[in-house]
Amino acid sequence: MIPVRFRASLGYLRRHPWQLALAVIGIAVGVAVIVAVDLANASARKAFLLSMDAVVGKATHQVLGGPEGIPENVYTRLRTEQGMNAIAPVVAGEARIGTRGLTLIGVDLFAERALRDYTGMLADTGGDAEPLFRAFLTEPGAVVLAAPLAASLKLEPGSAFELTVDGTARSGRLVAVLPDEEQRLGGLVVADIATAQEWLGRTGRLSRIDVRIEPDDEGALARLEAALPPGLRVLGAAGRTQATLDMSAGFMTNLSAMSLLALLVGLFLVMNSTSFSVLQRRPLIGTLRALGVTRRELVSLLLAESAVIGLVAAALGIALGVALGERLLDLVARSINDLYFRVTVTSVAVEPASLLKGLVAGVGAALAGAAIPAWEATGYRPRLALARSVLEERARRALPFVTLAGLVIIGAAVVVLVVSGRNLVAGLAAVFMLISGFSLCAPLFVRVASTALAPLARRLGGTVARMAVAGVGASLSRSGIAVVALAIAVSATIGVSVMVGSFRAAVVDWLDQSLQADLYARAKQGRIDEALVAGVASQDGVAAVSTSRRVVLEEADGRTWLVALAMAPGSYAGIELIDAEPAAVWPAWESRDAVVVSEPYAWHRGVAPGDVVRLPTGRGPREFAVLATYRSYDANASSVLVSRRTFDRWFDDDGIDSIGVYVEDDARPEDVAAALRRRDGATLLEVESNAGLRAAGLDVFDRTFVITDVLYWLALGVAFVGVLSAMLALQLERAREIATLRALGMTPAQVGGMLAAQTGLLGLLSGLAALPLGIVMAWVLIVVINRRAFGWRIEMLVDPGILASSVLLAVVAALLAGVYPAWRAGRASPALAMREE
Amino acid sequence: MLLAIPCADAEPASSPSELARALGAGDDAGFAKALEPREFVFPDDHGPHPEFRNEWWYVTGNLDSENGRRFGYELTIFRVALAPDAPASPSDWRTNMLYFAHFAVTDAAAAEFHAAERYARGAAGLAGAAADPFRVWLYDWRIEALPSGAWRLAANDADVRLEVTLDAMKPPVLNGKAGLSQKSAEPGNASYYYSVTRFDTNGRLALGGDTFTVAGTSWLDREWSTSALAPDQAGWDWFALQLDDGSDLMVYALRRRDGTIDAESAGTFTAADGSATQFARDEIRIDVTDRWTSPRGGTYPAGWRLAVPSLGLALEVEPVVADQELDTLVRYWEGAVDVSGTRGGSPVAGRGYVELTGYAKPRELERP
Repeated sequence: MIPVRFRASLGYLRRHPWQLALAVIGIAVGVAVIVAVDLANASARKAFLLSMDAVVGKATHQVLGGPEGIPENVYTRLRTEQGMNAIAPVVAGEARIGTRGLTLIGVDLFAERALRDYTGMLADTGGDAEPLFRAFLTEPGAVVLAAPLAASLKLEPGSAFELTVDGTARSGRLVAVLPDEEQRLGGLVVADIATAQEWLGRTGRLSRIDVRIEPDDEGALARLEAALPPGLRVLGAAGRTQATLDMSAGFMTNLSAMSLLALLVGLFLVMNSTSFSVLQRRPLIGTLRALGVTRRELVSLLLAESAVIGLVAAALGIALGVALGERLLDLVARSINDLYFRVTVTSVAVEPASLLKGLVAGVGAALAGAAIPAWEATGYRPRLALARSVLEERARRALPFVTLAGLVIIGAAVVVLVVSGRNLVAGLAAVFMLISGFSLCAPLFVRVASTALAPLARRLGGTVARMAVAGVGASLSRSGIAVVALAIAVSATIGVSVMVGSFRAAVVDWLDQSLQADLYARAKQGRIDEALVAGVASQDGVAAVSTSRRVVLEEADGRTWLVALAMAPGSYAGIELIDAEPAAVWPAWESRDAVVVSEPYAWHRGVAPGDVVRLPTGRGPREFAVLATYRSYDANASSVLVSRRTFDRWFDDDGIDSIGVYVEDDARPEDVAAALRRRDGATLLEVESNAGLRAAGLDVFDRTFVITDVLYWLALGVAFVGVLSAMLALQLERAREIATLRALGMTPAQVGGMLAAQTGLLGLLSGLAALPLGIVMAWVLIVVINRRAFGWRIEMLVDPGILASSVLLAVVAALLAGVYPAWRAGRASPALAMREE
Repeated sequence: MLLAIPCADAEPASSPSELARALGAGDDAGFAKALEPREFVFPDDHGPHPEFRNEWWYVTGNLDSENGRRFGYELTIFRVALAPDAPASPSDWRTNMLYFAHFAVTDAAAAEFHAAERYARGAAGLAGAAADPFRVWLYDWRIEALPSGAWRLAANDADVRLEVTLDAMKPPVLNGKAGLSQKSAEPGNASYYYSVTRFDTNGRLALGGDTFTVAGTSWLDREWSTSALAPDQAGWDWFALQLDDGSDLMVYALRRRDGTIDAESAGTFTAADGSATQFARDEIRIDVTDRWTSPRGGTYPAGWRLAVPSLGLALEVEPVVADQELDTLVRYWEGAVDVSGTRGGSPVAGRGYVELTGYAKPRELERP
């Protein structure tokens, strides 16, 4: 037998299905976004770790050299002279099959046993393994791929195919597919080390030597280090993987924070619908209290109701989140590939932890949203609970306290921002505190604004307009929450739009400045050497050339891009020094062992002009003086610039990645470009104008923020549902009042107009309330979050257009949400409505 | 590690030569074959013969420490060509040559046997062979000529480490017909085969934390071929015996799948002065006097009466330790033995090595 109070609850919910539905939708979308982002992040992370596991295997350490790699005879000596057994050579590089970016890993099957299980897997592929081994070892171009990857590329054992390695087209043949249930190998093209060297043009060099040192073999590491020539280093394999993963931590944290925003908006929605359902049932609550149901029983009833709603919504949200996660994963993976490291994710790994997070978030939000209204509504003496006015009165009286609490939280957020140093999570926490603080101040804003607007409204729109405006102010207990939900969503769009807009403007500026040369040439096939550079320089119409070489330096605590530049006279202007005079920096940089570091590098390593940085050179670790910091929004942000002369002193690497071509004033860049493309010789050049590179740079930038866009539109969607729900609630609650107005002679159109004006006003107020919060959020995102996550300093640019369109967005969203309730209110039969009680 | 050779339905794959065959299976086209006797030239022929598919450097020896502790050892380096021609490539790693090697030490006093195997490509300096100066190596396992003309042999695994100098006491002897050793009736199923039957051997053996100064004698077997056994042959029993009168006896008995001994079985007797006498199947008598069942499966003969009446030889051969089975990818038994008996009626004793292939239970393919 269901207790009376539960039957009362069920009955109520049955009579108001739309309200129930909206509450469920609000939470479900919030949960879905959280689950989706969490799944996408976790899947990307897991895919990376699994692929690293497949690549690193059981190696505990890796021997690494400078950017040029390791001379292969180092490995031979470790084997033949030192008698080291648990070591394996690796030649790795980037490959592309079709549009799929992959890692080419060249291995020596005979050395693999101690480290990886490729050999066993190859032997296990079924059938006669012998021809397969023979093909793998002796056939140039023979590769193996994971079975799912081969299937998705429509390749079968025996198929010949084209691939691109290091930008050059190559012919491969698939000799076998490896079973890969765990999807560890999905990003790999596995080839014999000879094939990898041939394809990568890395004859005589290894990328690294993987080493397994047993934990109880104490002297082994020291023996290994002693046996290595200078310039080679031994790094822990796990630390190296972690350092790579850490590069993307800031990015992933930011995504998680954005997903929380959607849930926060959802939370307001629950609060909104719970308070309304409580309001609606105040006669029932009063009666139940009068009948002797205790307050505790009532509160638990209302909470139980919300918990069930939360549970249902969470279940829906999780299902939705898994589906959404698939879509987000693509975006996340693409950004990670653009910005950080190669990761191949084919499907979302449904982690129970992510689902649990969604469940907890959903039920938690439902309970949190219901707690205050439930406690409040049941707190009155039974008789008073019957009176609507008492509630509004209470809300009015609570207003100063609520506002004060909001101000205190805002103050606390400021304190957190000031004291939390470089901590990203604390920065994000402060963002949420700011949002909460502003939310608590919003009701006062609505009250003040609607009071102020009422006389104005009467003058402009007559009694109906005045009533509409006053109605908003008078029903603060619900309209306040609706305003807050919408305001948060809108402020988030303002914050994020201003941040992205400022960031984009900075990137555009930076690209314009960095791309000083008229043309940029890189090798399409073959390699660029000094002779070729000289040839380009002597080409008709070429005034000057610069060259650049970019190599990765690996250290225990992460990766640094070392950029060696041979500058043309015009190149210096392309590098904006932030903290030093160019005239004082460049001569010293050209001649001394000195570097100019990127802003993110300086931020992450905590270095400034006057400090020294220690870099692993081809001749061992070496200290370089830091002369200045330069502005860079490069995707590989942690960069160090060194002059080509200095580079040549310390690194055995004569490679050149690109040539910057400065065209004579009287020559046309397109003519020079065409001539360069037509050059004879082994090396074919790919020539791009600076406009082309600029567009490509912005393309990467825009791709990175696609996911941000998706997330804030979702948050706005939740807010829209919130306003719709609030409007429906208002309309329902005021059915009798409206009926009275209708009975007094108001036409359905007038009633509809009044309600539309009310929702429009609500939207306007939300939009206005969102402005300060949005601008503060933008400021925090730019100055605190971006800096902490990536080390970038960006000038904040507030585009008035963004502000205006955001307010408009709020009004339109509110009006749209008000259409149906207004139409319904106009249509209601006054007689029926008045008879309700 | 390497290959799924012992397939469930395959015949027992059992000998290094079968491994070799499996690795270079199928088409012989493009490889040289041992069809006719050839002229042997030293030191050139100590070096590799890459035009043939398979080749091995097989060293076995019996050693004693200063205080009389007895040891046996085997170091074999195999070369297999995966294809007749070396692929052209700028990469030093590209090769058609595969090397693998087995290293085993028998500790008679402790009745222990330690064996290991390794693989490497014959490229990038990791493994290879050269004639002058003679050198064959796989990682840090090696047999190489010293400036003095003596050879140095070194190998190790875990806490076993052997390093000895080999001084040849006799010139190489050619087995079979002037070095052409027919393995089955079909022409081309033959190898070129010579031995250096006695090396004075001195050096050091580290075992389980102790290091022994060791001395004794070793034996080198050298063979290269493209195909050897016929499908109806199951394996072989090979004896390399060094007698205390200075003479050495090599016998190989090729076993057919029906249990009989193949007509192509043969042997070589090398007198103390280095002169060699070849003899054929019908001059050999072998009786098995004992058997041993491997804990890894398969039953081996474990004691023999071996007679070559035409040479007046009647010998008893007994393993020093029962379990000298190499648990390598392809399992076989290769172990130190004691010899006693008579030669021309006079008592004679000795030591040697015996190799038994084709008895083992095929190895289950292990995932590493």
